[in-house]
Amino acid sequence: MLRNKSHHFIKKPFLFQLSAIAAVVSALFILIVSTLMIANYIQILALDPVDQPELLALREEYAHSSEMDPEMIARIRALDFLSRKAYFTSQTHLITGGKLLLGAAIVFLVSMRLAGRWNPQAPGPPQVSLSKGHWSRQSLLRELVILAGLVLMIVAALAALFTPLNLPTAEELAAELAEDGGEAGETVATSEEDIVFPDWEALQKQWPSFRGPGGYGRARTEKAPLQWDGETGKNIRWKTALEAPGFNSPVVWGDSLFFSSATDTERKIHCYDTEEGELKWELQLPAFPGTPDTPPRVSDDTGHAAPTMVVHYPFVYAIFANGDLVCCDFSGEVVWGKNLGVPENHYGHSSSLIAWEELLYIQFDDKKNPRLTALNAQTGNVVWETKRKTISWASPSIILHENRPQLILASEKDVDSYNLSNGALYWSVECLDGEVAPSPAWTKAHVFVGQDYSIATAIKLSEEGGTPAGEAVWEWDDSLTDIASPVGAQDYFIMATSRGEIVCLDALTGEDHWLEDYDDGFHASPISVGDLVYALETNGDMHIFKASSDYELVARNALGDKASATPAFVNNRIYLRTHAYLWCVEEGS
Amino acid sequence: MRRYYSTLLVSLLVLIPAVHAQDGAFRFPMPEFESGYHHPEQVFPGADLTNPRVDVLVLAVVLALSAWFVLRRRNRRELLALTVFSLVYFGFWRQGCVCSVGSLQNIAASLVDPTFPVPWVVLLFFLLPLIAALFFGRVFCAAACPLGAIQELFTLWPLQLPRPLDRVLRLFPYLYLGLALLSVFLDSGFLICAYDPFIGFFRQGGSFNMLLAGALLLTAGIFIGRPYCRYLCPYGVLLSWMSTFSKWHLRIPEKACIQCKLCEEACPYGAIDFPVTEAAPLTRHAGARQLMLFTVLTPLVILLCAWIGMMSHVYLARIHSDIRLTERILAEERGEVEGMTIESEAFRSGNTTIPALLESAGKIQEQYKRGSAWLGAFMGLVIMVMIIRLSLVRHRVDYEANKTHCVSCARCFAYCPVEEEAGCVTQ
Repeated sequence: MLRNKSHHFIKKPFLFQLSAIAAVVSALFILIVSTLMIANYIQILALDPVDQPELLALREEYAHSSEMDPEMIARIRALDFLSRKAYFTSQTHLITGGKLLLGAAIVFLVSMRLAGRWNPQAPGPPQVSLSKGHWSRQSLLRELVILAGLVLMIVAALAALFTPLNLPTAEELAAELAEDGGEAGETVATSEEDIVFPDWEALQKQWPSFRGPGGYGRARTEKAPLQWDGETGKNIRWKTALEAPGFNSPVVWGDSLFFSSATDTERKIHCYDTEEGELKWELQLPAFPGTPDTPPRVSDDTGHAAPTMVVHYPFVYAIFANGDLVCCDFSGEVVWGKNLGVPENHYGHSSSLIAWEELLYIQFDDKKNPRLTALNAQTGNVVWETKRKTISWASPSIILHENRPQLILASEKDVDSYNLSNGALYWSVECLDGEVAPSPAWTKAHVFVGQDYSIATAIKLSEEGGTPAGEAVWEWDDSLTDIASPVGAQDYFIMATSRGEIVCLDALTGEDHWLEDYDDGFHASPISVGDLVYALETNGDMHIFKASSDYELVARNALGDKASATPAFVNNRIYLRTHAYLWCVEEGS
Repeated sequence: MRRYYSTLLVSLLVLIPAVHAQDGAFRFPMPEFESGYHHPEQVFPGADLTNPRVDVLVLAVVLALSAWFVLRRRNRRELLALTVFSLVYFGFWRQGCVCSVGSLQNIAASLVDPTFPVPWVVLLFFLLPLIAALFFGRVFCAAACPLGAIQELFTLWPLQLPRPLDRVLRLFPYLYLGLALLSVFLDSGFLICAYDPFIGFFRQGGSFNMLLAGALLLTAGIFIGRPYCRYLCPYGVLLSWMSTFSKWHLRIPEKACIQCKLCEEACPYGAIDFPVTEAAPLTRHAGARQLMLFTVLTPLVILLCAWIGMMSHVYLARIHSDIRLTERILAEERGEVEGMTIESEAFRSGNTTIPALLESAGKIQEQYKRGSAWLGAFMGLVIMVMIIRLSLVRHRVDYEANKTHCVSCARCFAYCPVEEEAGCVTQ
């Protein structure tokens, strides 16, 4: 039967107007609140309370200041509090806005529905019935479906066309990056001739890297001079004046001595003749692709050329604070070079280079992406790369324990040992804290690390299932070094601190045998030569003492110039780079 | 009417604690102290879940009530009150989870990985609406689905889209379904959940883009009824398949249609089929030939679409987060971008190397090659089936609810003057 449904369509104008007004008001309210919330959201996006430039600048200034300025601390705290407060206030506004929106949306919905209810539109027969033209509509619909299918196909085809087809393999990526690095032309090795790099034994006869062969501070020379005087020239073979800003240490191969220097605007490699102290050549680095126009910010104590070069005959390699890495030959010609990206490093990049067989190792101390990279020493191509958890300002060492080489790195938290061939992690011991600058020492199957305001730890090396392993066996937390690296000398670990203390610890037990105070402090790392230890003080005085359980000073020799770089001991000579001179000390000169 | 507003009031009361529960959800890095201060140990409260049996029971009751309101009582007002209840319970109270729409991903994941756990609650949430659709039509869409419910309430001034445009846009749910299944099968995540436009409202929080998308859909929904249900919902595809064969689907006139045409503009969802009284333009023979042509073309179109799908696998593989990460890392390594994203920073602080990432990404792309071909073939099949269906000659005498597209909202009842008295079987 037919039923009268007109009661569904009865109009109530007054109630309709009331509900319509409520709907309009709530809609306006929603619009206003939404706009305010979006504006607030954009404001929150722009507001990063943790990384505000002003706050970061203050914190950095505070980190570099030697004194604890209470006013600055108060300013930092006040600014930090304000920015956090602003952030959380905005968050509160968003939450409140959300609640208001929800309420307004409900009011809007209810009033709109009531408005519809009280002003219904009664149905009537349509002016043009859609029941007409069914087939033509079906035909149009079929054509539209075909068209939609074609559009979908075209979109998919375009997506396929404009998307790079395949991801590169690791090798292709390495080659591509190396190729990109070589776009400057003459900066990529083009020769494919096989170069035989020196082996471990050959390295022992030279001073190829920071703290000598392996980079752990042990000289292989038969003997070293005991007496000299910079003022009178006694046993000074030659002395050459320098104008080369940089704290890196000299490295020596045969009759060539190398070091680097850098300012804000230029980066140089210097090569000197070891016999006469004459400058052989000087190379000013070109700009590589990616070399920044603006130099990175570095502290005055670090400079732009803190990392020590490495010699790996027939090439020498240098890295700078802006990420420029260069390989040149013994005549000063660039073989290849690239920019690794500017490392984010608040003091300045200072880890030295080291090489082993065909590989060059870079401990790249970039806060955003700390990594250890092995490059083909001949071509500069990446062979492997492994991530590190944190950075440091220490340098890598290569030790040969039970005929197996290990690459030892210290970071802000850990000491890590890597396989030199593929970068696999052998072992890792978490024992460090703070900003670590001293590099690891090694003797008697123990690796030793320490950092001022932290603790020193000895890690005993062993083998577990054919794989190298390390285990912390003792700790020591008294006077610790902060710049100079410790050295393993015979049965002892010896540290020289920037406060002027020299500490001797038993390598196996950690017992402290003696502690001596000197005048000015040490930045250069002490070097072990036979049963003696050479420690160069910042005033240029070299203290020579025996590596023994009792302190026994053998000699103290003055140069008369400030010194920060670690000397090179090779062929019965000592090569020193002080702030104003390059020296060669040889007995009988 | 009174019942309707009392339901609204209950909804409001339920919403208040739901809003407050979100206050603590914001995350912010803790301040850095260097004064020996020790951060208090974080304490996580234990799970406080509603008994899942209750959820299933509520769903079953809502489905039954929905079917009863639509088929027996033919009462939209009661159905609307049930819709409000579902929005409050499944949406704001249960915060959109478990959700039947998303459950199809769990089921799909369990098909490719037998070890993937599918709780019986999820299984029932997936099956019950489909079973209900098989018997009563899309009563789940009518009043049980929180996504449908929020859109139904916002359908205030519905305009009717031109019928051809409406039907063409209904291709997109198939595409979304295909992409969602591809993503699940290739371990790329649950797309439907990740891009649920209304979950941000239910949970009173979410990304700006998610909230904006939801707000835009609701605003559009004021004029274009249920845009998500009609043009995006992948679960709606399965429901529509079931509903097509439903045994007791709603009828606009309860008995014989009197051809009054009053209901012609009643449905904002374009789900009323009109009588076909005109003669077909093609002869029977010509129509059969046309149908034959489309049938023969079907495998070719499927192959072509599969090939195009396979060609676009590199693009589609970006659904997988590892591919996006790989592309980002490559761009960073090549110096094409500055800085790092949270993802690339996390990757670089982990132990995975770039070569390992590249190798893994290569394998994923290979998997996508096959998967994209299947997706293309599926879309080709959908298009061809749609074309073939449009080429079939069907004669219809009455105004009828389209079993595939009708969401059983009961709007049309008020427009139809033909109604049976209670207990009366007369026409």
